[in-house]
Amino acid sequence: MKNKKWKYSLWAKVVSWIILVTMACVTAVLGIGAKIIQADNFYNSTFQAAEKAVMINEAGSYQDANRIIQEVVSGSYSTASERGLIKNATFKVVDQSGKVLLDEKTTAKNVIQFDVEQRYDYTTSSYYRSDTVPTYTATVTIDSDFPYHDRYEMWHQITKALYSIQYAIFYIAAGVFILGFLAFIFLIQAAGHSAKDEEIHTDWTYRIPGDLYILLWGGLTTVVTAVFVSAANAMAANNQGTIYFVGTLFIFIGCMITICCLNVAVRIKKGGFWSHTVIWWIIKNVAAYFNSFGLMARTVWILLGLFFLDALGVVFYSADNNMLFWFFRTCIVFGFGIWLANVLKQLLKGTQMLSSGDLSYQVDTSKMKGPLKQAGENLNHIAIGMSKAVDDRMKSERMKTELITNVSHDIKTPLTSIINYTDLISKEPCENAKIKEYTEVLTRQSERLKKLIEDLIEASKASTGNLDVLLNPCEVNVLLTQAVGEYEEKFKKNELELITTQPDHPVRILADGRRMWRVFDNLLNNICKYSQHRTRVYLDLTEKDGKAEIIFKNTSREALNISAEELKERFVRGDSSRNTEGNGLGLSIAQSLTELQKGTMDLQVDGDLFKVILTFPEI
Amino acid sequence: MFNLLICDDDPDIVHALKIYLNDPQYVLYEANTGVQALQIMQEHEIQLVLMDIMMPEMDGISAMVKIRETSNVPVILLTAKSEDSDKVLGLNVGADDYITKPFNPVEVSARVKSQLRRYTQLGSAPLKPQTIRTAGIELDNCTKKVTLDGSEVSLTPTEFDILKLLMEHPGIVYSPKDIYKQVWKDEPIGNESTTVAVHIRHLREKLEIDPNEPRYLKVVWGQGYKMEEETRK
Repeated sequence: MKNKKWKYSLWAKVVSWIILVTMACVTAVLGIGAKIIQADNFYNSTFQAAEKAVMINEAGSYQDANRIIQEVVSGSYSTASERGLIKNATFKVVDQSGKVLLDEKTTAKNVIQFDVEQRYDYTTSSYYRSDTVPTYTATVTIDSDFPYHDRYEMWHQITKALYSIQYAIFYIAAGVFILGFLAFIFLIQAAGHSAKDEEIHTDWTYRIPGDLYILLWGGLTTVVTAVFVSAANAMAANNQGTIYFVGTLFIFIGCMITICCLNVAVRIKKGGFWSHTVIWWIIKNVAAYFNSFGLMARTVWILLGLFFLDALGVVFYSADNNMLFWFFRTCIVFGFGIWLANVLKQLLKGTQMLSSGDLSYQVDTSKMKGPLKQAGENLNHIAIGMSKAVDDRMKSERMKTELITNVSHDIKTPLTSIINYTDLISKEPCENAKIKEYTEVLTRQSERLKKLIEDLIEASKASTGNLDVLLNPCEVNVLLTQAVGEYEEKFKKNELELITTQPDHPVRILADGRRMWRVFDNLLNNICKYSQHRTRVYLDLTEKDGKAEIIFKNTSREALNISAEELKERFVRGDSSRNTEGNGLGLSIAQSLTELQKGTMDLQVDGDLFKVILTFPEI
Repeated sequence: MFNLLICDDDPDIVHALKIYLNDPQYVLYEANTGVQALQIMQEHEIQLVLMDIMMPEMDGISAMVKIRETSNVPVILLTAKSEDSDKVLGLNVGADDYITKPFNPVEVSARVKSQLRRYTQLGSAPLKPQTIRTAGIELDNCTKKVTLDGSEVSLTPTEFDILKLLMEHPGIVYSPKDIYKQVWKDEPIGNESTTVAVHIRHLREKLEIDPNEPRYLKVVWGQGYKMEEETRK
């Protein structure tokens, strides 16, 4: 970081300081110049007129004339004592009767000349603005070639300079000001940094709290200024000396302010400016004390405070006071109300999201305070806790599914051999009728085991949602037709008569065709397995409130002494004997798959009538 | 004569398969790991591979990927993994067919025959005019005969018309109503289109090795039926 090194080196800071101080002084001087230009009306006058105005107002010839009148009248005038500073001017004093009291001759060719009138009461040695006091007139003649070095000559030079830059002065002043300001900014930026490392450096002064430091520094500056000003007053009106003195003081105050600014800048850079102030400490302690009260006590204190303020308003009633107070109070109440409403809104949103099941939503408590913040954080903790519980549950379900899948794979391999060799045995010529019979049992049961394993995987996956479901527009009429086509033979074999009713117009739902077929397959299979022979089976498609309802109705062969809810449970079957084929997973799979496709499956048992209703939203 | 390679880590299954595929046309080779399978592939000219997936040393998928680097031989995966994702993976990395354990022996021999026919004969026999072919199914419009993997299948005239319609437009899904309109040349009234579904079921039972998992005459549930497009080059 060569650039940084250059920037934060000591000499860069020193140069900046010098630029800052110089530019501040130049700005001040230019400011005074601008004031003169304005006061003496440079823009609307010739150089001569401007110079004359400067001579009267700034160079002090007006005061000179007054003093000379005073001295001449009181008789203490001496030419020699005055000449040191005002060699270029000559004076002529005339009283009101036209009597010449003083007449200094001049040899000058070009002159600036003007009269100064002055009432002067020589008996009391004081100036009067009363008609009874005699009036004296002093004619001041200034040699405009300025052969001597004196105050007039200095002002002549200043006027010449100011007149020549009367228009440019503001731009120059602005430029100089900006330059000084840039130096200031640079110092602020570099404050605390050093060329050696990246850290912010502080000294012992930073242990003083920030606001106390500003206060001390301000106090010190004020005291020093006050001392110097009183000293300057005592030094009396030595013109030139005073200017230098005021200038020095000016620079001193400027430097003090700059140092204070730099100190504050370093504090802010270091961080924690506010937390290291007396005000902050007081507020913190008061707030901590206040917060140690209970919620009710705090509320009461706040209300009491407001009441007290109201009372104050009544006691010190005046129209202005009351308006101001009322405005102030309203502002506070308004702001507090808005803040409270906003916080409550966020808390409400949090509870809403939570109750709607979105556990990932977190209330933003960064802008909340006190008990409301606690409420928000508690809400967030509830959400986190709940989502963790849900995640754990999901994970354990997934692991269960994985376990079932893996175990099933392991079972399948030996089962393959069992099925195949049973099949091979059954194909071997054999005289023994018993062996034939036993082989048939083996074949049937091993096939059943195969189906059970496949259903087990499917059921565990469907119930945990570990299945891909692609929802596409699907025409239920067609699905029904296809299902009937597939099952026609099986129904005939079981001596069942299938009656379907469906609307003429197509009914469309969103479903995954293959999964939907699996649902139909399971339900129709159940119907074939458990229906009383020679009965009718109804398969209806109806529309109700924008929903498609598919209703399967059949008459059970066995008495259904079991509730609809229990039937949906895994491994529960309508016949308690468990003799027929099937494993009790069919309904469970059908329900899980239906729900995965955003539908619902409802079971109704009414005597021997068994009814399954699938409901899907229509599109 | 076809050289068949059976690869499974369970010797009982290999033995059973050897019994089922006992045919004078087939010469059977046996391997118990993917590595052994690759070795035999190098030593012999193999026309078909039956391969298990879960095996020691090298699993069936890796072995198949290796085989596919050099050979176009048909590979039938024979595995206990029955999930859709497993099937998709297997077929995507180059398997020609996928049979899940426990398998139906008749199905295995039918699929082996079908794959061999496709590997050795497809494209070589010139097509007669008025004949449509989709994979193993050949439909002759003149003689009104349909053959599956070379052997004749007897169809009813309605079944023949439905099959012809679907084979003429492979990949296109026809709803039962559409098929009814085109084949019966009439508007279906009430549940008459159910007849179509019954016919299709019969067709599948005649043409497919496993009617519940059809390979040619596919059911698009909730939409209709279609003849699978030929994807193999």
